[in-house]
Amino acid sequence: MNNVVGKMLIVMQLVFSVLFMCFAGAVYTFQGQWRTKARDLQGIVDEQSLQIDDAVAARNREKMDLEATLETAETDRDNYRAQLQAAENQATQDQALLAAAALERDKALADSEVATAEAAARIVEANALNKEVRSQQLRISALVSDIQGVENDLLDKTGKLASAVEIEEQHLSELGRLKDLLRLNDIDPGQMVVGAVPAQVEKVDGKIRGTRRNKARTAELAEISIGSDDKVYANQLLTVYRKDKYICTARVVEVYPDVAICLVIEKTRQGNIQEGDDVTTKL
Amino acid sequence: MSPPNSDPTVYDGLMFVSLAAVIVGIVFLVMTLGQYGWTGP
Repeated sequence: MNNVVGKMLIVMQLVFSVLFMCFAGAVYTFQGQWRTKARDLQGIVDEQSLQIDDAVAARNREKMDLEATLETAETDRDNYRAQLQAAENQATQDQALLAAAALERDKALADSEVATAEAAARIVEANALNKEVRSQQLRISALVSDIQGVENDLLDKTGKLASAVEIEEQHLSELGRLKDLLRLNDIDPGQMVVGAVPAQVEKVDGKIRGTRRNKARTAELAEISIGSDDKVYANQLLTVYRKDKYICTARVVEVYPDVAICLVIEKTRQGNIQEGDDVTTKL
Repeated sequence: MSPPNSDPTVYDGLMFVSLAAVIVGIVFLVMTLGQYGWTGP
């Protein structure tokens, strides 16, 4: 009986030893593949860990940012709440002011109605006054034009007065000079003038247009180119000359506006008169 | 009383085969541990 048990144990030991050897060989054979696979898995795990770390860091940064944003938003919210509260207070005050303004508006409307009625009356009155003002303006315009005319006349007369004063001064100066001249010639300036005083002779030059003698040839008449327009008057003595030569003296017997007839004074004759000779009132 | 039989039997051979299998298995395990840096006791 003992031999049978020992034999069975020996067989079982052999079987398990062979199995042990087989499993050890299989482990040795496949452990390289398992190791490579484990390393690959480890790399994947490390990469995933790094990605997880990066994601965690990013999440932390985003969290910090969000926290900062949240803090800012809370601050803004508080500010807006404060502004809202202030706005509500302001609105309450404005509503009170609006109510007061409405009361004042009603009062002002009542006053404005009264004022409108009064303004209508004022407008009627103003229209009447405008008409009167227009008539007064027209009258003022006419008066202004009259004043301008009077001022123009005044200016003209002032100018004439100034010219007259200047002429008067010249005359006074000339009068003084003449009185001095009279005193130098032993003539009393206060002496009375007796007889007709010939008019002042002004220097006028003319030409001989033609001559004619009477039948007896005792007198000679000459027509000259100057007349009453040149202040030539009757009985005026004129001198006839030709260049530097004195010819005679003639007396004016007839005067026309631009022509005069002269009678030659034979006593003064020193030559024959020819057409074109010069004649003058004063040498 | 007869003397004990000392002739090896087939079961003795099986015992040696079993011993050899255990030794080979141990060698495989040691080599496997050597791949992971095991240097021995």
